[in-house]
Amino acid sequence: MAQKAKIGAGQLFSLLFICRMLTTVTFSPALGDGYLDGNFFINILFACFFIIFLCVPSALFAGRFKTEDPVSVLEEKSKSLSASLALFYSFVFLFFASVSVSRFFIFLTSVIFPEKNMNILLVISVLLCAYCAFLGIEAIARGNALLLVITLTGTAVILFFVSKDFDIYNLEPPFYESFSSSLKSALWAAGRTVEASAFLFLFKMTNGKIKKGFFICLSSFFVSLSLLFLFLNGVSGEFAKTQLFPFYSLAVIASFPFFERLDAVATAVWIFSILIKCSLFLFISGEIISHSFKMKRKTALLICFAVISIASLLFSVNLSVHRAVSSSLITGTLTVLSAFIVPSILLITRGRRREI
Amino acid sequence: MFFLLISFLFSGCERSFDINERLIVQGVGIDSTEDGFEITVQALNTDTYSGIGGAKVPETLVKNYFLTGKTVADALSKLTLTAGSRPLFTHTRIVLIGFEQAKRGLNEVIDFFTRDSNCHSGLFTAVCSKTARETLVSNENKESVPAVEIENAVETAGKSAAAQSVHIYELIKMFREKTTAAYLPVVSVPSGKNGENNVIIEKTAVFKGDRLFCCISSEDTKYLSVFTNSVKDGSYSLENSAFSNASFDFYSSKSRTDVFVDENGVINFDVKLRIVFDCIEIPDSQNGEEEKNRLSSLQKALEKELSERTERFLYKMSLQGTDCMRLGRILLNKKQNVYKLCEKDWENTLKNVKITVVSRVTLRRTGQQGN
Repeated sequence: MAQKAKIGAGQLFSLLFICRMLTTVTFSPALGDGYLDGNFFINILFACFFIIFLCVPSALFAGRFKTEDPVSVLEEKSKSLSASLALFYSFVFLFFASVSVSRFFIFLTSVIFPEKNMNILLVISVLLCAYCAFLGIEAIARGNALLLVITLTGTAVILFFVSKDFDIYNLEPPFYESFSSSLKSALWAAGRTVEASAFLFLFKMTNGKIKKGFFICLSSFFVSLSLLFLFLNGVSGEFAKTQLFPFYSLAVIASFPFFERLDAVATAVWIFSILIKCSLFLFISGEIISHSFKMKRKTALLICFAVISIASLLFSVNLSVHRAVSSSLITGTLTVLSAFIVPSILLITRGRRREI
Repeated sequence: MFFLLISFLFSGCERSFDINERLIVQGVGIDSTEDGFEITVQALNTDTYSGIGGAKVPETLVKNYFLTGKTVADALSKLTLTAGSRPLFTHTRIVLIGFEQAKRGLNEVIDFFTRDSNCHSGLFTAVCSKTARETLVSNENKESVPAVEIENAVETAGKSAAAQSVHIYELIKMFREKTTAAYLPVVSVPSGKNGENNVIIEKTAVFKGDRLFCCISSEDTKYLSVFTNSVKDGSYSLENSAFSNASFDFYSSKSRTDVFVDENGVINFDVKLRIVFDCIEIPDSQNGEEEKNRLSSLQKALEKELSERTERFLYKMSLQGTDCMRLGRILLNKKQNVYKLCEKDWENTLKNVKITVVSRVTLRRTGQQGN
C-alpha cells in the first residue's frame, strides 16, 4: 500500500494518544464499561501490563515489516485471504469509530440537547471527519497538533479546578476489591486499546524514532490514566459511579472563584477528540478498502462514511443497544484479534524479515 | 466548513426562546404532603410593564410558584402551565428540603436534580427549620426570601467552622458511602423587628440513611469541621472564666487520625488536631510581662478545651451510631481488613470505639495589639 504522505513519529503517537484518551474520558460504567475505582492504582498497573503485552506483536511487526501492513503482507500469499483480512480490519476500525461516535451522540442527546433531534448533526459531523480523512494523514496530524494542546490544556484545567475538593478518604485502599475484579477492570482497559491495531497501518507512513515515540506514548497514557482516575475518585468518590459520564460530571463540579461549571471545556475536549479519532479511523479504513478492492479513495471514504453514520445511529437507539455493542466481550475480542492474534500469526508464518 | 454548515443549517435558531420567555428558576423548595410533594419554585421575575415613562423594573426580584405532584418531576412538569413559560433549571442556586420531608427521606426527592440535564450537581442543598415554602415565602410578612440570599448565606456559612455547606453531589456521595451519615445545613428565616427577613444557619442536620435523625448545634458543627478538615474561616470563643471568653479566628486547621486495634479488639482512633489561631479579642488584656504568660496560658486552655470538646462530640455522634465524621472511611483507608469485618454492622461497632483527641494550638497573631 504505497503512501506518499509521511508524518513524524511524534505526530503518530500523539494521534494514538488522543484516540485512547478519548476512550478514557468518555467511559461510562452505566454503558457497560469497567470502572477503575478503589484499587485503581493496582488496576492501572495491571492495565499497563496488559496493554504493553497487547502491543508487543504490533511493535515486533513494525520492526520486521518496515513498509508493509498486515493486509499487504498477506497479499503476497493469497489475494482472497488478504481481501478477507482487509474487510476484517475495516470492520474493526469502522466499528470502533461508530461506537465512539454513537457514545458522543448519546452524550449530546442526554446532556446537551435532550429534546432535539440531532441526527443531522451526527451525519454532518461524520461527513466532516470523512473530508478530513480525504485530506490525508498529514492534514489529520497537523490538525491534531493544535487540538492535542487544547485537549490536554482543557483536561488539565478541569483537574486543577477540582483539586481543591480532593479528599484522600474518598479513595479506597489497594487490594480492597478482589483480585478478579482488578483483573477484569484491567482487561477492560486493555480491550479498548484498538490503537494498537491502528499502529499496524500507520507506522509505515511515519518518519523518525518510532521506538522512542512508542514508549513516550505509553508512559504518557499511563500517567494520564492514573491522574484522571485519581482525581475522579478523590473528588467525586461514590458519586461518580451514579453518573452516565463521570468525567463530564467532574467538569460540572469544577469551580474556581471566577469560573464555574467547566462542562463546556469537557464538551470541547470531547468534540475535538472525537473529530480526530473518527477522521483517523475513517482514513485507515478508507486506505484499506481503496487498496484492497482497487477503489478510488473518495468512493471508499464515502462507503465508510455511510457505514459509520448508519451504525452510529443504530448503536445509539437506546442505552441497552449501546451497552450490548460496546461490551467488553465484543470490543475486547476485536482488539485482541486485530492487535495481537493476527500480527502474531503473520509474524510466525511470514518468517524472515522483508525489506524493500 | 463545519462552522459555516452549523450556522446555516441548525445553529439553534429554530424554535429558540428569548430569555424573557423562559422561567429562570433560582430556588426549589420541597415539602411533603399526604400523597406526594408540594414544590415551591422561586424564579426571577422578568415581568415588566409599561408606564408613562416606558418599561419599568419589576416590583419584586423573584416570584414564587406552588405546585403539587406525586413526584418532584411530576410537580415541576406543571410549572409551564402555571407560569406560562418554560422553566430553565440551569441557574438554580439551591434546593431546600422541608423539615418534615427530610424526616421522611431524601432519596425520593434528589434524583431529579442529578438526572435532569438542565440541573447541575454543584448546586447547594439545605434543610429548612420549618417547611421549604415558609422559608422561601416568609409567613410573617408574606415577602419572598430570594434564593440568592439563602445561597449566599449557605455558601458563606460553609466557609466558617460553625456551619457546613453541602453540594448535591457531596450529599449523594455521603448517602452512597456505606458507613457515612450525611449532613446538611439547616436554614431558618426568622423575621426581624422591622419585618426584614434574616437567613440564619444555626444547626446542622445529621441523617441516618436518607432520613433526618438529629440536629447538632453550631458549636458542635465547629468540632465536626475541625475534625473533617473543612475549616476555611470562622471564629472560636474560649469558654473559660479565667480568660473571660477570649475569641480567636481560625487561620488553619488540620486533623490526622491514626487507627489501631487494641488487645481487647476495640478499635481506637487517635486524633491529632493542629490548629492555628489568630487572637481577635482578649477581654481584660493588659500590657507587661504577665500578658506574655497569659498568651501561653490561653494556648494551653485552648488545647485542653478543644481536645475535650472534640472528643466529647465524636463520642456523642458515635454513641448515636451516626458517622458524620467518616470514621468508617478512615478505618477503610487505614485498616481495611478490620473494616471488612465490621462494615455491615458499623452502626453498632461505632458505639464501642475508643476515641482520643490531642490538640496542638498555635496562636499566630494578636492583631494590632502587641499582646
